[in-house]
Amino acid sequence: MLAKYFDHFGEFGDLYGQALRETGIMVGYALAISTVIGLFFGVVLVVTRRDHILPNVVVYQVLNVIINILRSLPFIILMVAIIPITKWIVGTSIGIKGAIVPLVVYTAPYIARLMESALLEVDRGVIEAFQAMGATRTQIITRVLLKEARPALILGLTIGTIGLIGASAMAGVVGAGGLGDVAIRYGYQRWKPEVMVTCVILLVLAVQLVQSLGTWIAKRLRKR
Amino acid sequence: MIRLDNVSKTFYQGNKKIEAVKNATLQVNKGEIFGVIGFSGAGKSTLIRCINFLERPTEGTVSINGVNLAGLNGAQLRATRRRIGMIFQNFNLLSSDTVFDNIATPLYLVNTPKKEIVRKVRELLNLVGLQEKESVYPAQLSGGQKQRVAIARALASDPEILLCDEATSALDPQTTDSILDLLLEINKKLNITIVLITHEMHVIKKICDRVAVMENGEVVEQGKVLDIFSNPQKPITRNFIKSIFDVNLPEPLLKKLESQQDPGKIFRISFIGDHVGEPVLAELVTKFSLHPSILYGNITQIKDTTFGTLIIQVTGSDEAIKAGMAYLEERELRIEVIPHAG
Repeated sequence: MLAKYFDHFGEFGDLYGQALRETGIMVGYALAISTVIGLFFGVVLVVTRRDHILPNVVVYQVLNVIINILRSLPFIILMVAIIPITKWIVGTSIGIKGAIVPLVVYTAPYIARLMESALLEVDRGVIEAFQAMGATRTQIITRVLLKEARPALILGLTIGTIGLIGASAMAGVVGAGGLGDVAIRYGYQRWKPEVMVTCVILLVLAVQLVQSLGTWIAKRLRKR
Repeated sequence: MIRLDNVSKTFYQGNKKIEAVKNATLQVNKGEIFGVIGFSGAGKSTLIRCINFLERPTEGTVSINGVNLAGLNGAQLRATRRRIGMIFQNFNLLSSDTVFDNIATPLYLVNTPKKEIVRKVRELLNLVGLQEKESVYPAQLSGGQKQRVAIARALASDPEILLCDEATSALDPQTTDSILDLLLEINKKLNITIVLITHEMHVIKKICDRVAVMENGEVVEQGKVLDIFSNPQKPITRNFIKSIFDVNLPEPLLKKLESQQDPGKIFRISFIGDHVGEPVLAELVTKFSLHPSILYGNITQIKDTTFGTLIIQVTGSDEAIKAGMAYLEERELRIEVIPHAG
């Protein structure tokens, strides 16, 4: 039975290679862009709080509501709903390009929240000490907030990445391919259980790898 | 050098108005160690934060070297803050930086050349006695060592003023003393003006020149530490003093004295500085034919001055007692009559 399972790689090996590459590209690009956007808005969500270094109720509230709205949509719905915007940004709503835009719109607010909670953990006393030293706000953000929160930021990004891998499985709907697409089209619709099993194994491995890497980096950064 | 004029700070918690500091006026002279004592919630934390504008006063003015802080723009205020070091109860070090980098922080902030940073940090490590700990992270240090790092960091920008926010409150008594000795050394060696807040009278007694007592946001009493100790005016001040030496006689003893045939009179005599060690009791006997007996004695050191308290019971004729006490007062001793218990 195991031999029979391994036989199918002859037929589907290239398909998996292709799917892994597609998933990798989608997740890689979407993660890079979402991290930049998420980290930026995560910082904004923290420093604009009433009792923080750049209090601004309007900015905080507006951002808060927008993020909540985006976070309330399931990915599959969001992807279809923003097709016109996707088209406007990258010129197409299908393929890998067409999937990256909704993936970013879905993941960036999530990462922003994760970054926010990581940054809120930074000891307020240290921020106060830096204010007393005559540090500028930019210096406080770079030298205290982002630096002290590094382990928590990495763990947050790990969670975000795993969520992103999950969402990318649905990108088959817009023809972007990837592991999820293979699992649905071959494993489910064409009733090939061995393909389904392989896709599941590959996804589990990917998530394990990401989580282990994240935990390891965070541990190395933590000095307490 | 530091002047607070009618400083008030009011917070609003929802609709609740909290007057953390009310009308505080005080002046700190160059080179002195000025203490502010009060229970938690008395407003001393807010008061010390008004000195470097971590809290902007709602009313009143704060000036450093004659410059009103309220008139400064952002950059000027930051420049002024660099001349004012600050240390905290919880040390507030960067956990992700080594001891070296923590101490160098104020220098990094103004892009000091690397060579100059290394020189300065080594010098400070020497001063606070942590030469061996340069590349260690704060988590591996004891509380006292962390506070030493914080002190070194505060001194890195060569400040004229050092603010200490309950700097020894998280430390055990022995470590507290070693940190206080270090602060005293810094004050003398570098001629840095120190303002500290504390709830421990011991801290005031050991290193402060002058003290302000705070209660419910107000400065209720201030003056030289010695004067406050020898002649406290407010009940809260007496309470703080009592916390380190109790100069009251136990009630049962007072009762017992009263039941004696000739209870005489009970006096508290305070000696300050040079007067400690004068043979005053002998003089009461020889010059006034009085019979003093010692009920209680205490001698303590208030910064550089010796301060002694003696409670005596004196028997003799009323006139002789009066004359004797007048004589002692002439000798600049403080005399207080302690009323009988009944």
